[in-house]
Amino acid sequence: MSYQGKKSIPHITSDRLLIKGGRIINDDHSFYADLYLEDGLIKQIGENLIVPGGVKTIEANGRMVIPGGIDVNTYLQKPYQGMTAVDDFYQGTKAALAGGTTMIIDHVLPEPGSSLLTSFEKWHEAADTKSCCDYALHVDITSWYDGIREELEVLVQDKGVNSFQVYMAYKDLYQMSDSQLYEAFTFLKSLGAVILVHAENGDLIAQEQKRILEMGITGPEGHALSRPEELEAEAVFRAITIASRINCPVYITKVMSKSAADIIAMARKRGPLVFGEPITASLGTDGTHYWSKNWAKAAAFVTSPPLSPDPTTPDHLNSLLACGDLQVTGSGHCPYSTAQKAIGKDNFTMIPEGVNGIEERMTVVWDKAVATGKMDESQFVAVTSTNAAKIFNLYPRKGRIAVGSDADVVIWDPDKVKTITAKSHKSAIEYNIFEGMECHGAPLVVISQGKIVFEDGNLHVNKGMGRFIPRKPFPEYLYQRIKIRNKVGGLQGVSRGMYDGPVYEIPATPKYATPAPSTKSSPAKNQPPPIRNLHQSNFSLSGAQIDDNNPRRTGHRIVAPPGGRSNITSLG
Amino acid sequence: MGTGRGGGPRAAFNAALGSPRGGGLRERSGSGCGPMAGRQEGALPACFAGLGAGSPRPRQKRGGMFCSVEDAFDNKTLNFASLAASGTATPVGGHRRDNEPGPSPEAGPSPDPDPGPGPTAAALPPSAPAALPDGCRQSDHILIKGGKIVNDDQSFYADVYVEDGLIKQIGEHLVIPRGTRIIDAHGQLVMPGGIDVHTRLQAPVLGMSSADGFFQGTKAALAGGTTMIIEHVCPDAGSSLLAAYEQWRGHADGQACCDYGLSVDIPRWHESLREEMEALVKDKGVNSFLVFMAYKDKLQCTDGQMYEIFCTIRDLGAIAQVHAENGDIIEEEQKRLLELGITGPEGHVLSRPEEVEAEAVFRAITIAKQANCPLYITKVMSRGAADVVAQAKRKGTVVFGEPITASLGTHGSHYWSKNWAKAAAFVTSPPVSPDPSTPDHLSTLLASGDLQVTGSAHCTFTTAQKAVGKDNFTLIPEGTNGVEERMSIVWEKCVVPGKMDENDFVAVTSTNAAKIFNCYPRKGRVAVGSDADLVLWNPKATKIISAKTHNLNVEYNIFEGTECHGVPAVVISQGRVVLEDGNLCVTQGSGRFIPRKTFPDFVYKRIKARNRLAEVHGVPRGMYDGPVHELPASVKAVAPGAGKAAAAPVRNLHQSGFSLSGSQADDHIARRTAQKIMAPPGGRSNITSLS
Repeated sequence: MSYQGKKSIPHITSDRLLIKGGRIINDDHSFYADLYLEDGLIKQIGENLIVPGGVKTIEANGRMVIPGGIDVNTYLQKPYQGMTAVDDFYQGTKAALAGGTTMIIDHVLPEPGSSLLTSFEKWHEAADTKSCCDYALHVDITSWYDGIREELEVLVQDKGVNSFQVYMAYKDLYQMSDSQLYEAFTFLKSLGAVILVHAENGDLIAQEQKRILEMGITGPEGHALSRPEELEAEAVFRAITIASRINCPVYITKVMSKSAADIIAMARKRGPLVFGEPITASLGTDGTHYWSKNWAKAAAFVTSPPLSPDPTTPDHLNSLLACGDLQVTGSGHCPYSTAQKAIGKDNFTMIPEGVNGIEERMTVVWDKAVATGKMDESQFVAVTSTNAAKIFNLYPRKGRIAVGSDADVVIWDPDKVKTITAKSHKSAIEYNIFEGMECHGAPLVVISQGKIVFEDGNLHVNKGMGRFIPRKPFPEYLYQRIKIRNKVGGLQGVSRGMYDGPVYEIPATPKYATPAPSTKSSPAKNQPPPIRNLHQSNFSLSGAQIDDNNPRRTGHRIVAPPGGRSNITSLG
Repeated sequence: MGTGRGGGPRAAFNAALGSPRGGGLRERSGSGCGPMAGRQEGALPACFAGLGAGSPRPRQKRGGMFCSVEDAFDNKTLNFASLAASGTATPVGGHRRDNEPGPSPEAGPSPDPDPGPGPTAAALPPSAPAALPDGCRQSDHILIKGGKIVNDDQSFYADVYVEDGLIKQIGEHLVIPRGTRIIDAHGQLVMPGGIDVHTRLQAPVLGMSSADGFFQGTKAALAGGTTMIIEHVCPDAGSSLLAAYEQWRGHADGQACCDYGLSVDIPRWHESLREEMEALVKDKGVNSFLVFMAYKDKLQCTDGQMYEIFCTIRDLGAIAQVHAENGDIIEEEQKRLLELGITGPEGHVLSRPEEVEAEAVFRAITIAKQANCPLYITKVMSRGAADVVAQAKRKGTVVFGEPITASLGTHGSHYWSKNWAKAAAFVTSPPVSPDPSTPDHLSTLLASGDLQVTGSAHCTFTTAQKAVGKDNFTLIPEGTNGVEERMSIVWEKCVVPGKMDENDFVAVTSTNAAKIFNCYPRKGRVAVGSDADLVLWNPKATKIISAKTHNLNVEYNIFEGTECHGVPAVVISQGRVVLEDGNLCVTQGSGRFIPRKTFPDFVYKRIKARNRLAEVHGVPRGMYDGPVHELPASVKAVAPGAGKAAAAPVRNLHQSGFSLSGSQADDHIARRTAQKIMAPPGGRSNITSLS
């Protein structure tokens, strides 16, 4: 243990804790009881507990005792052109704990082309040495390459990763085509993984960026203008369509706009298994700030999908969160300092993307949803913690106050009023996008792994005390239904007699792999072009791209030899 | 009045039966019309011979309408014979078959079970061949008396006088020249002829062309009350749009019997097409282009390409049409189904579920909205897709949806038919929805204005042609019939159950199409100065659709057995009577190309206004003068060059090693150079070396 660790020993040695007189809130019900924690676990719940002597007792005085928050979306190690976000695992998890979040799930973002496993190990190591709270890792699939299947299998079977993110945006970088998505979804489903999707139409964004730069708009407002919310909604719709074809669950990260959220809500009504994750930023603020005269402020809001400029968005998203159409909340925490953001001062496409929110998440949800009467305390626990634990297969170890669960507990004070400001936040950035927001509800005491880590506004944490929480595949919350649907939804052909009427003779054109009208080969062996070639005409050199290559190749051949060779032949 | 007139036609009919000459008949019908009789007499000599063919027996409608008469005529029988004989069913062009209705009944008296009409038909031929052209020319002056004129906005009773292919007068007690032919339209609706916005009469698939060429197809169109079609030109990927356009013009000019417009498909996008599109729009009278979101690796366009195409189209003032299906997903599904061993036509619909259609519609609308380009969804086949269109309209997007005859008139449960030929006949893309409530839903949306036009996507293949895919559903050529049935089906599904009135009917079958494609008011309206493309619609007549009686070259009609209340009694195209009493009188090649202008008001007025409003402005700020993070001098990071921001339009977040994007544009350049090389070099270099 480091020096710092020793310093805080007095705080963390109190392995045993008794929380007296609290109101315990789970996602299903709440009740008054005492809570006894030992060895990082919840050992007893009830009244008049028999506990060993010398136990440190915390008087909750009727305040709420809730399971610690789980932040499902952070990027504490995100690389961008050789730099990383200013909040690393240490800084970031410290902020998380200060906000009442006791577990994060961070995204591993491999450089395109590099191996998932290597990147995973890199993140794992960084987090192990720095993280102050428990963590798990999502792995982002930034390209679909040969051999990725084996790596995915290893990650799922041996490494405790059960969620992977794919991108529909960032053209020519991370973006995957629909076919690749189909393939990836199919494979991930077979592994029992949770499929996360960054949903934005990358093609259109690229076009819009071009157009807007050409118009001379280079400031952060260009970011919002080039990524209108329709593009987000479109991609969400597409992702859901693909997933429902494959009958696999799909999880939309960062729901930022009303229309995207509505698409998810609509889809859920039709049956596909879709989950939506609004983030602190979309729940707490809106995108009008992109038009701020202060460049630094405007740039601080840059994230993708962007915050919606529609000021009614947060209210709408909170309503959907309250009624269950959206299920979990993340933060998408990935802050860059103003100097880092200023890389894009003359070109909004260069501004590194990411906003803060890891610390503010619980408070913002409470203030916007519970304090306004949209949801009750149990629903609050569900959207900040329990649902996430269920989806990512951490339940009931996390996300519930029950005997045997991890002792990640927060004593929540609903009356505390706090003003969010960059001056007092734990993050390393200069600008807080929620600056000046007055929030009701804040954590009073935060207990992580059975130890008090936050009390009276003071953090007592150790670098590296966070553990990696491995997650098993096939979370029941998602896959139970999928399994049944698989069974029910089998496809069957129609058994017919052979068609024995006349068959049109196709003129023997060169390009077409004869569709074998005569061969009565087993139908299963019909590998011939799965692509339907409607409207082919006489000289059927369709499939132009394939052709492109051919003439080009012959062209090459001609250029090089014929001048010489034919000469030689004719001479000889 | 009713009885008197009822007697007239019968008498006429009998007369026709008795004598091959139409003269007497004509006289009688003329006298039946009372005051016009004198003039009619005067005109008699000219029309005399022509009457034998198609135009006689004008009053036969009630007695003779029952399909048996139609049954006796034309091609149907002939086609069967040819098919049975050859087995390969080469689409018999049937060149002049229609100009001489004689041969067909002669060829097929044996299969004809109906003794009644048979003789009628047989009695006619002698006078027919020579007579017909005359007959057609004769009816240049036509007065339609006593009908109820139905436009999309109102209906009223008036007479219509037609001359030189135009509507010259509308009103009562019209002053008309001698020799005018008078058509009695009492109890009938006089409507603008239908416009079928989507046909593929010339679609080439796998080296076959569809069974109905322009001649057969337009003939069927006229028989169904459609007097104009908009045909899709489908160039091969990589070939020139202009060349394909000329090719289609060539075919159509020689064969079409009704007016036609052309819409050009864009099989694969590259920059050089922009000029061709401009040429088509400016000089060739094309104002609509179709892009495909399906048919992966063949016709499919990426989202980025679609955006570019839409921007081009918007600048040209044309209509962007979209075949909306997600080709990527379809391809994967096809693979999966074939692996499962499903090879029959049901695989077609299983691999193209309606959500895939809805998804693509949604995406197309998103892209069009970004490009601020009006969008037109061809072939709306499913509830999901229609709902997406309706929702988008509600949000203000300029989008139009076109359900087709097949999606309005039938449903996709037939894909599971035990009869392969029947199942295969329904194969089209997007597929007909298996949900039997779909036609009802679509017709409701059509009635409420959420969908605007109806097409047929007529693209027929004979069973033998379809059988190319008998072991693999992905090879079945796609297309259903519908050009002939369209009007009747829409009437049956929308007007008969009271979903829409006759004016709406005119709107969705004709007027809206004319407005969208900018041939209004020349087409799509009964008004002075408009083209004399008219339909006398008989809402009381009944017809049962059947492959036995239809005017097509295919053996199977997907609407087989549908009973339609409401059929065209008389069809007038370019001022000539082409259908009367179930007899077609068409001239091959009489159809004219209708050039269409750009920027249709119906579509572009809104777009123009929005263009003005939609300008985005940047925020004027002082220069940011704070610290800027020093990028490690690693690799690519394009130096955030001041001012010249336009350099890297694509966001290169985490850009990696080699950034050769935009590969398709490169491909084309390469091809061209390759072509140049191909022709000369083998020879030339030899020659040079020999000399």
